Amino acid sequence: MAADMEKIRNFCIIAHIDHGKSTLADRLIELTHTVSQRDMKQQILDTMDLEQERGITIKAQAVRMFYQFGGAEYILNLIDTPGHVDFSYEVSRSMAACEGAILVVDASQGIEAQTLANVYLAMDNGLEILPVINKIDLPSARIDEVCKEIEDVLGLDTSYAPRISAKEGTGVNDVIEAVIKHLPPPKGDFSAPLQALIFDSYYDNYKGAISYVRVKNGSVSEGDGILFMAAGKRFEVTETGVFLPAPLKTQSLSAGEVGYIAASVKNVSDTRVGDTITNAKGGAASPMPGYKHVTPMVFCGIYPADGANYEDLRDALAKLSLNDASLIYEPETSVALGFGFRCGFLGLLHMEIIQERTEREYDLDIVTTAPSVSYHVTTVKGEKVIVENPTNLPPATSIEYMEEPFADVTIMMPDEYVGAVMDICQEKRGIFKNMEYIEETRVMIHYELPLNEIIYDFFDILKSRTRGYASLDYELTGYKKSDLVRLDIMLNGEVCDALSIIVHRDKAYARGRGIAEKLKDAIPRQMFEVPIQAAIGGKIIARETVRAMRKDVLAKCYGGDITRKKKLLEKQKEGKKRMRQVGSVQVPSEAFMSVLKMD
Amino acid sequence: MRPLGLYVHIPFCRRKCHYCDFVSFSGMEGVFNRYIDAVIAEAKQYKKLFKEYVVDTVFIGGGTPSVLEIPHIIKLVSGINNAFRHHIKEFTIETNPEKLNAEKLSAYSDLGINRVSIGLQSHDDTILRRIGRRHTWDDFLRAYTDASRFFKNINTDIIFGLPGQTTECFFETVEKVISLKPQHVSAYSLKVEQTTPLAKSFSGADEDTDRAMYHGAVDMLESAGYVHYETSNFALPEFECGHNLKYWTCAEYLGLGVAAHSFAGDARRSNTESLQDYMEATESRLPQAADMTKLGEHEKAEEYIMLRMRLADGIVFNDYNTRFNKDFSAEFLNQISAAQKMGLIVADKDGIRPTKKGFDLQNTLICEFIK
Repeated sequence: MAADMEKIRNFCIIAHIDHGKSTLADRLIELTHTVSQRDMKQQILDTMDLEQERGITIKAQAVRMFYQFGGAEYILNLIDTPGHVDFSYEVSRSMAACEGAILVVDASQGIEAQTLANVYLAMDNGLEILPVINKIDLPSARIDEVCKEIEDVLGLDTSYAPRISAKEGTGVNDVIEAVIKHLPPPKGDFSAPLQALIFDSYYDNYKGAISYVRVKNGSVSEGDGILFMAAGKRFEVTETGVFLPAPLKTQSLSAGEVGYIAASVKNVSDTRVGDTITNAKGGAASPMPGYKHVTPMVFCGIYPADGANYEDLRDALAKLSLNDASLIYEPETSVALGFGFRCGFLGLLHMEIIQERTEREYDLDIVTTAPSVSYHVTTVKGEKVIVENPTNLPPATSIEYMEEPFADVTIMMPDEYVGAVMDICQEKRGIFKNMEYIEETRVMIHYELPLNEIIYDFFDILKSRTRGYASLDYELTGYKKSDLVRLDIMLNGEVCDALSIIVHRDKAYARGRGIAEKLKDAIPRQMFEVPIQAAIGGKIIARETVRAMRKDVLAKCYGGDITRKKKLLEKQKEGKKRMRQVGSVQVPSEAFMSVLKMD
Repeated sequence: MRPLGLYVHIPFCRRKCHYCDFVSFSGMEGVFNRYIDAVIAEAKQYKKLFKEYVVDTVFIGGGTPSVLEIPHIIKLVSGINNAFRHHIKEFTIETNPEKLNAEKLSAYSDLGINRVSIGLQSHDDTILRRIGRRHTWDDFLRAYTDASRFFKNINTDIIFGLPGQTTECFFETVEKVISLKPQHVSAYSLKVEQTTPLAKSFSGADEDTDRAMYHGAVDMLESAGYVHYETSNFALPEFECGHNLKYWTCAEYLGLGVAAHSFAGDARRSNTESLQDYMEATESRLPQAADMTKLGEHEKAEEYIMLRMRLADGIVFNDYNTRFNKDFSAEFLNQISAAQKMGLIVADKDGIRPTKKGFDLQNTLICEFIK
């Protein structure tokens, strides 16, 4: 029995990190009695440990809620979206599954750069937007000013915007009723061929890759033959269902509904976000618009801290990529680090999440190399080479020119930090585009910045120099010619490949010096003096020295107590396992990480 | 009969030195008697277990065993003599200058103690005060003179890398000690332990100073006829400390008293570090071992290497091969050559011995041989 589309609302929540999206979601679920109080964990939609800990949402999820209004029962499908810029494609697909969006704005903070980006994304997807003013209980709440900001900057009517405190539960009923009143119901054709948009997928050990879908037209039920249009793969549906938020099997899913489809799909790369599922026979003529094969923007090498754990690392990455089609990895070898993997990520946060999950969920100590972007190299012979690992950069003499990716960067901040932010952008080779006041004391700046500067320490510097008040969004714009060089680090005269980076020539000297200084502290004394040199081509631009170790002995084993000495040696032995041999020099795994960020 | 070393821990001091993190308590004069009784009771517990052994070395350490009064010592020595079969070649007691007098020394000698160890640490009174020692250089001289009337085997402990200690100052200590011609000198590099009061105001001498002091002391003592036979120990020929050598050669020893360690058969064992627990357990005739580890062959061999590398004689292939039924030079072919290349050892057909550099970088050296 297909549900009455008039009684369905499909919506998502847009908010900046910490503006209360997850708290509001929790309250909505609570109020609709979707989950019993006993099962109610805070931020119920964020299932991964990491998400709960960081208070961010990584993977989109969907939950079906029921609400009695005006004598009828409504089905409210809340589709949770990632809040971070790295996942903007996933966000856009989640939005394409909705008719409306709740925009949560913190009454004390106002609009932030990411909110702005996501609101525009929602508008592009034709969503009706319901503004909600949250955190009205805060003493610092500026409700009227924030409403004015929303009207001026986004052109949204705030006269019907609920004013709430999700934390205290104030006004959450108003939100639900406003959703029903102001957000449109889905439209679709039950009898048309199936068109179901995949907005997320995850891997289940028993059921295979499961697609989270929004059915636009037609219907699907167990036993149906289906076709993933972009992937070009056919499967038979083994189960359809909805999330309450625990999965509940249904007889079918039909136009207007949100749920999941399981079809014994072995690989998540077959259930790509943005793809359209249709009938295997007599299916839709064309997929739904907007599918994009996302490509990684940030790359780094991931190696086991203890070389013996290579196979474990391979397993971990294989398992992580089961659930994350945008994570790519392939084996690579480093002279310094041995066997490992070159991994591609959507962005820095995505990279950090994967690193953390590898360490936490698979209990592996890993070493990562400095993140790199993808460079386009044109050789003197006219060949085009794509370089994702600095080690693979052809020799300078055979390079005609190089291009690096640039991004359009939007930063919003209180006006007192404009100077600081502009300084940072200039330091990072930014090209100023424009600046506008979005409110009396809040400014939005646009810069064009090289991506390799953004992935270095841009976030950290921005955060520290604006005391966390600036928010940032960026979008890749394309490649531009640039004067880039490879900076090599030599330990005792030998190049350590894992430490090579590609930098702009003007930055090379400072980076080289910084890395050499860091390494001086991170590399323990050896039996001989170890020179650390930073070099471009053959030219040394910076040098530090790790002095030779003079003493490594325990004076006493008192009264036959040898436990201390044993413990010390055990530790030393363990430490040795985490050491990488670079030529004649023992380098601790931590040293490779210490150069990733400058204090 | 198997030889056995006996260690007795006396965990009492008049006041704890600022750098000391050994198990020792001050202001406990009231329990001396009870503690001695507990130690004797513990010794009796082992009577049967060690009936196949004969005690040939005894070391009464601490703490400061010389804080005990003469009757305590008499009771202690006769107690352990009664508990074990013995044929004691070397019987050492540790002392500090401030509580030592001719009367006590004479009593030690009468009891069969034939070696005294006196803690000097430094000849500089300012440094002594700074590290919480309760004696002066003059106190030490007096004690040493008294001791030399009764003993022909005296050890002097000195420490380098102390706060306020210059290289010259330390060398002066070494010179002054050499001029007294003790049979044995222990020169320890100070390790500032984080739990000690000293750690609050001193983080230790820098490596270069520490090594300059060590190398200087080795040179001075060797020129004066002392053999540098262990990392921190020097002796006139034939006066190496037989008891301590047991630790470094993996010979068997039994430790009595709180926090005492033992190694016998295949096991290492340590007593509780709580004075109260120790006494109560022993009085109720309960075993008070806090920790006991049975060693496998591999672990035994590793310990052997770790401890033997402390000695100037290093590893004697024959001894290792007989003990473990292996062939050291074949087993460690690559390691020997690597350590040689690093200048840490010299090797010949009989064994491997640490070089000067090998003594400095002993842990690095040992790690080469531990898998």
